[in-house]
Amino acid sequence: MSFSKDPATELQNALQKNYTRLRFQQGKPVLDRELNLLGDLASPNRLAEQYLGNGVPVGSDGFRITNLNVGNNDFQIGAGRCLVGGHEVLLAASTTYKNQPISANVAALPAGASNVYLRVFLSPVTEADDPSLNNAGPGDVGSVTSVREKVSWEVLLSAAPINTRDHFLLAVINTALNSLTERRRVGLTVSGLSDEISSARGSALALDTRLGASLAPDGTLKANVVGAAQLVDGTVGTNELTDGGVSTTKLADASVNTAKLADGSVTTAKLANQAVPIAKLAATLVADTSISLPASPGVGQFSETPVNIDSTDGPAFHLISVRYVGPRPALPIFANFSSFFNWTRRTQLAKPPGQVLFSHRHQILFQNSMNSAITVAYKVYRLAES
Amino acid sequence: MRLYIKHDAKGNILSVAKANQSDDSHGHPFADVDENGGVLDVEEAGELTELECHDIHEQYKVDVKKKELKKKPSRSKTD
Repeated sequence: MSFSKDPATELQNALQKNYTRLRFQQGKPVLDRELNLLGDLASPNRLAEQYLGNGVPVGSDGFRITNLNVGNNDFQIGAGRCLVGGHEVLLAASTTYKNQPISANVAALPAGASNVYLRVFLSPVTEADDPSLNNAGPGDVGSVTSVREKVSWEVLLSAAPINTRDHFLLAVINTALNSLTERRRVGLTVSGLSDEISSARGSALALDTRLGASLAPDGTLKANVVGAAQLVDGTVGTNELTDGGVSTTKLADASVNTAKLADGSVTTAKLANQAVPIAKLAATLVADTSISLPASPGVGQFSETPVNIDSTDGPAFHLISVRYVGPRPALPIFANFSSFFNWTRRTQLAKPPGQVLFSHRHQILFQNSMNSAITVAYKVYRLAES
Repeated sequence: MRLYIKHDAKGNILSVAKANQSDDSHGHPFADVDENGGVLDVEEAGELTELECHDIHEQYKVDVKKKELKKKPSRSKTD
């Protein structure tokens, strides 16, 4: 083959100068390098290489690697099409690694993991390969005027990754594990990609409706989008919550029960003042009574009225409320009124007749120094110790 | 609600208690009961419901034999 200038070099020079086409002039000789450049600039291969990339088109299962046979150092290569480096290659019928058309690089499968690549390259074709290039037919010129380039391919193995456009990763095999992992990029056809995207997301209108339900225009989640139904049970643990991240307004009434609290998780520091009323304490009402206290027997003296509030022989923790009930005379607003009584706590150890055991009688001793009977009320809770 | 009236031997009321809840060991809340007196246990009803303990204390006395509560005769203005 002889060229006035190397076609590949001419193409690169032209591309660097942003040349995009040739225009031949009247009466001027045509040069081989210009005809070659004309074809190279107009070739779709270059655009396909750079803008489509490598892959298997929709409707084809080309060069699928299957049936790894480690013992026989072989595997199957499926029939079909594939675009690599801007060139389409076609394998008309399935073959194997060892029986592929170009076997110069076929070797025993490497130990362990290795990548299976499809390498695509151009091979020159001369009249020695193709006699029709001799143009020897009747009335023909009778000599070779041009040569051809054909697309060739080979499947090869490499433990190291190869990241050039003329190599397309088909699979990864591991002879130690006898495993094969498909790695081809399939569905390369633009219409096929469009169909796949549409199928995945629905139509543009439907997509907008779906996304608009939960996402704001800036991509952030709208308010109230994530409810309990969107959270898998147990997904939000203490590690996912910042300190103070959950305020009381974010908790539904009765949402936190004893089962949700770890032992010892509620300390005094976690309880607001006044947060625990008596009704929430483990307490038993043992006395809820109003009683009249007789008048004082004389000036400077007082009547005494002891009452039992509880009987037990163990520890007893009592909450006692005592209050004045009456009488409450109707008086003008400017009048001064004061009435009082005394009360003390008293504990008596006793053994009633007919009983063997002693018990403690917890009492309140009321004293009234007023000259008339009064009514007082008392309420007593016994708290559980544990 | 139960009404407990502690009284002496003559039926004079020493204390009146209205108990929603009281020490079960006695039934009534009084810690000291005179041997000659007693504690009358009645159901609170009628006028007794409206009166405070000190009003019952002053306006009633106990018929010891019949074991019932009796209203004292009201005093005249000349008493």
